[in-house]
Amino acid sequence: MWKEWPLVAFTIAGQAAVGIFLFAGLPWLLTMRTFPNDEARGLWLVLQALIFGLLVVAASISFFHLHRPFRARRVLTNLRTSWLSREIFFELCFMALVALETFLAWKKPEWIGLFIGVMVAVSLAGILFLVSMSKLYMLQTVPDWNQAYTPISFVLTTLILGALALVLVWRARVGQGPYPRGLLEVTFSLIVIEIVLALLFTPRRGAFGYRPGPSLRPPDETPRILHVGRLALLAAGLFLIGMEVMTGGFRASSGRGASLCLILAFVLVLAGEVVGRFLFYGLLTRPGR
Amino acid sequence: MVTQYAFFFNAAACSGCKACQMACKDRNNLEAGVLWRRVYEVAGGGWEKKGEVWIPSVIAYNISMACNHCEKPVCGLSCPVKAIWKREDGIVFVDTDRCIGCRYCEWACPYTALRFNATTNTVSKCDFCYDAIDAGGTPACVAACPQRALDFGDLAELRKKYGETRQIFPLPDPSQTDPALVIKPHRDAAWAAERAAEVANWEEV
Repeated sequence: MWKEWPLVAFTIAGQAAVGIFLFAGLPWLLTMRTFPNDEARGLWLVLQALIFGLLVVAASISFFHLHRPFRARRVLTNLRTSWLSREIFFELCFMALVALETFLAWKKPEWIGLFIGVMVAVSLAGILFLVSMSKLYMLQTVPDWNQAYTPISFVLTTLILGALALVLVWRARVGQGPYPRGLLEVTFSLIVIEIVLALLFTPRRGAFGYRPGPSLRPPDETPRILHVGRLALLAAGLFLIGMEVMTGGFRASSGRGASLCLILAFVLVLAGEVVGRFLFYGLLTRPGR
Repeated sequence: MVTQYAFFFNAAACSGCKACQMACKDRNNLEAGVLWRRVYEVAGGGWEKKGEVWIPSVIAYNISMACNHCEKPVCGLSCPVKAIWKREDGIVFVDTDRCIGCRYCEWACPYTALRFNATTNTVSKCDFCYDAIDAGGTPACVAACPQRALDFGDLAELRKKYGETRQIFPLPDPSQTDPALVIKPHRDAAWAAERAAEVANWEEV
């Protein structure tokens, strides 16, 4: 299970990147479609740089998963049948389009028509990247993963990390502002949903989670405490976000800078997602040594 | 001409001596921990009360399992670099010169046929002793079995000779991959699931 750390890092970073884009880019695409001032454009560029950085980190770390990384250039060979090929393809598309869109926002903000077109393409590539990431694991031969819980948990990770990262960046750059109002409440609700679903439907551990029958696959040796740890981390993060919402921490703040409470909440939720992903890979023990 | 090579396994005859496993390992010079053919020991049951009498209801049989050279090989369909492909005679072959070692096929195969070789940093699996077959010979495992519990040949011929069964407890649902496999079940296999039998030798396979 621990050996899968490159996949854990790849999927979490990739999903966070898609999440930030969905929360930052889609509302912009649906409402504003222009940058009202240079500060808004500056914030946009910071967010896009963060998304691009996360994707570069994800792609770089994924090489540690390969035992023959110098042959990786062939990885797009089997787009016809392999979801792994498709996942990498859509990640590269997403990354290239984010780079193009960042360049346009930076150097040619007046080309708004082209910019909107690229934004639509980025949104599609991001969503397809997320879909391919889920389909990759939903193999008919792996019933532990071939559950509705897999795509639902991937989407929740995407939205939760995306929303929290966006709030943090916004707080650090702008302070109080109209756009992300309500985003913390949305994040709070999403984490509640994730905890409830994890309690009910986590394969092998949830109350109604899938229980595999005997097979030729080696038994799962993941420590049970990890499931409890994941839930505790998410609950702790939820508590801190709740504090922030209840005390009006966001709205009361007039200056720039994210509060310690919010930063800690992000760290705890991220840790919960990482532990959850290790648990996910731990469902399938590799045979042999 | 053979269109789909297949293995036949007689679970009723297998004594679990593991000669097939060792012959395979020896012929292919496999590293420690890498097994292309494995013998699973299925065990379960116990004592059962019938009326006033306690009777033994023990389950014990063996399953010798290698790659089943499936007609729908999920390993090959999943491979991002097309390093796993089917020959014209149905043998599923791993091209270790193309493999990138992502080990996705290892997850995909429900028979756990794909095994990672830490020396070559690629996956590997049973190749049906294709060079011996091409020369008119026999796979090492089949030749080594003292009980004649293993046989090989064209799938259609094996089905005519031994029947259509290709799944016994705890093998996966064959509709997932269409394995080129024919099995003669052990009599205990019919009761294995309800008597909570399980593989008893994980450390060996």
